[in-house]
Amino acid sequence: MFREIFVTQWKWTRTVVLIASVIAFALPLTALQAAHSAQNAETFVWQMERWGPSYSVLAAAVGLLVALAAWANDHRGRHVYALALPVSRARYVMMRLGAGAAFVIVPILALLMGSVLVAWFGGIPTGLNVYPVALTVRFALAALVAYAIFFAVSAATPKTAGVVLGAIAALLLVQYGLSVANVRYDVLSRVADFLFSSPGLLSVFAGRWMLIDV
Amino acid sequence: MYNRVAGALVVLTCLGIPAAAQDAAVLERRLDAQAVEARRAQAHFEAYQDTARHLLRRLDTLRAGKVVVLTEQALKPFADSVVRTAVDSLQRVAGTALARIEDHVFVIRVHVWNPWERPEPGDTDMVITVMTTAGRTVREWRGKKSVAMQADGLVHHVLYVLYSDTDSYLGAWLGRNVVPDTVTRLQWMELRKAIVSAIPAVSRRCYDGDIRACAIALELTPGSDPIMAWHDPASRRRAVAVLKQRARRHDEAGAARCDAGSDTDCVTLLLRLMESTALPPLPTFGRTALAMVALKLGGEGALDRLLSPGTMEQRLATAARVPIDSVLRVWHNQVRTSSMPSRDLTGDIVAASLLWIFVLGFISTRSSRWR
Repeated sequence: MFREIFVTQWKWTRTVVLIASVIAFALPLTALQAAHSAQNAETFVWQMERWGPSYSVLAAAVGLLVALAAWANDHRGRHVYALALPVSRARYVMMRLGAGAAFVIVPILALLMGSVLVAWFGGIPTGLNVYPVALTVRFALAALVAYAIFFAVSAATPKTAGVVLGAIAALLLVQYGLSVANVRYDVLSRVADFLFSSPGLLSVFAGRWMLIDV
Repeated sequence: MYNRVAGALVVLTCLGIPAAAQDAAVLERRLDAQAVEARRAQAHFEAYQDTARHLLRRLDTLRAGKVVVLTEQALKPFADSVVRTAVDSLQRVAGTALARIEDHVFVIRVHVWNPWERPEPGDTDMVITVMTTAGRTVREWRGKKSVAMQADGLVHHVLYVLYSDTDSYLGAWLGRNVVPDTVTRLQWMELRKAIVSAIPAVSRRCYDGDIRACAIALELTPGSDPIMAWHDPASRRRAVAVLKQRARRHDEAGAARCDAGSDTDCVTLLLRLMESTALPPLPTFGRTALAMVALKLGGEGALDRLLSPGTMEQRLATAARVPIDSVLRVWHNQVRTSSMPSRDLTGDIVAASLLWIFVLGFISTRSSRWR
């Protein structure tokens, strides 16, 4: 059964995966091309750092699109086919999750290939180091976290989505109320710290993404 | 107050210039008036110094060997804890060199909030003021009211006095910085990046292993002409290119000839710009790292030997108790070989990410749609 789910899900996801793979392969090479105009090592590192957010954005986009592709057809068919299958519902979800996770690996491998090419042929300035494996592992974790988040949201009911959106709206309202009451307490910063600092949900996206560093 | 006195004297002197054109009686009256003002300014300055000394005498004294700490009666228990925490560190780092700070005192007091500051309720900041026994304020530092933080501050400022205030030559060479206890791998790596990015050719020769070039780049021996000692023709051209806006303002034709390859014009421009010291071969941190290496090699009493007379080359060798080339080789080796795994992927990030992936996967299977 997993094979059938894998094959059909690949048909829905392959375009997204292939486009993401091309971008992931090209990203390190493009960053290197931009940094080659640097006059010294410090400027080179700064140029590479400017491309850092691109990796986290790509990882988030890969996770989002693969997760949406995993559930799009089921949503359209109102899950009738899924509910008619002779497997437990939890097992069905796990198979969908596993298939999507396997597809996320393709752009990860593409990024690794691009990074290794930079390491071998890049002409890195003296004194700097290349970290292709560390960057790829981080990209993999970020893409899988993003995939898991959006997969869970897509697998949930509209009521759950409403609860999540309502919680976000309530946070904004509380912050607004506090500022009107002249209370110096930054709720949004606290929430952002909780999410983005280790071991927060989005901590893998925060910080520097450096293929080449000192 | 001293600046006011100096300013008053300058103003008075400028007022006196047109007196040359006036007759002798008017001139005499002017000179008398200036003398009265100068005596008044001098009296103000002495009163200020007396106030500072009077203030010092009113405070309670705590001693930790040669380190003298003054504080108000109410703060004495807190200051005592600070001094006890700091003294071991000071003995270990400075040892016998502490005798050199006998004419300095360290005043610990509560910071009085300025009208524009908005502290949190219950916040108290403390100030450590470094003063000489003559009443001159050397430095002030402010930090939270915590024994650990204030002890760190006290240790730092005792060392600052040793490195910068008791020895102006060493202080200038160190850029008024304190030599750290240790240099992290990341700092060595950042230093390496700065060296390979520097404009002067001597930096690259140093990185490639020329120990004498490192000695020049670290300015261990005074007196050499930076334009000739730090640069070769190619790096002089690069230096002028970096400063091209200013170079063109001074001499556009000369800048163009320099760019075309005329080293004479490059030298002339750099001499005029006097900017070669603005493109140093190494950041100041390189020197403090070298001093740290020398102190570590020298062990006990190294700081005292570093403060002895001589050029920096002689002092560092004496402090380390090995030839200067050996100190430089250790420093160079650290610069070249320090490395660490990527800072962007830590165990925490990996563990947190894997945890969230499993948690979210579990949540997906528990959705009410699927139960």
